[in-house]
Amino acid sequence: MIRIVETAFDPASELTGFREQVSKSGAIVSFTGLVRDDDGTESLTLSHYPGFTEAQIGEFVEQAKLRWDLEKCLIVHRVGRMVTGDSIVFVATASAHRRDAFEACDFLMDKLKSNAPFWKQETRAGQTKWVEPRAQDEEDLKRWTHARN
Amino acid sequence: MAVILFFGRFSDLAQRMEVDLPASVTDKASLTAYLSAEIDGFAALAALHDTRISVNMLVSMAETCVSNEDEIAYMSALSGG
Repeated sequence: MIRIVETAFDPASELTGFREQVSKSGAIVSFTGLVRDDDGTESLTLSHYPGFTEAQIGEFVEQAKLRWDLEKCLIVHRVGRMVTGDSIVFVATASAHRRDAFEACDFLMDKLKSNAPFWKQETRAGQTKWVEPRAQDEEDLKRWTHARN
Repeated sequence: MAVILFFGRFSDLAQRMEVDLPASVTDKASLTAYLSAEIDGFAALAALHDTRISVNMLVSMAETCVSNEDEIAYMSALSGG
């Protein structure tokens, strides 16, 4: 399941709800991304392309399901204006075994960080600027281009 | 009327347009040329290597046809989630 939300969400509640929907897995891994307190960042504003963004993320989930044995995935992504400490993204994966759940969650976050159609603006000292793609995120993504062991 | 959407840095130039495409606009490349003439600063952004253009939510080649029935989106480099 993929949800793009415009208001704050509670990662703990999302995890509880996810666990209730899992029936046969032996492992659940989750990741929560927060707005960092990053040298005076006042706010972060994310925009997306409704419909297109969900479809692109859906492709990442399909890729993960082909690569790992997953019972279920959940991605919740916030858009709009956020401040330090707010949850931006929540990813949960459930699998029979922990390795698949860990790797799939890691893969999905790397795809979200580099390939998901989101645009960020950060505001510092009253000045707003677009956030450019980071080279490190591209490097992280390359880890998944190699064949699985 | 074609619907044209603008995301990321493109949204600094325009948010959404509904236009009756002129006869000279037949594909993504000619639409980009048309918008470059209409909107200050558009050509420079459109020329960047990481610009993406989708037609009806599909990203494809510059030769992809466009018509008044389509939704076309211009997207600057993705910031990611």
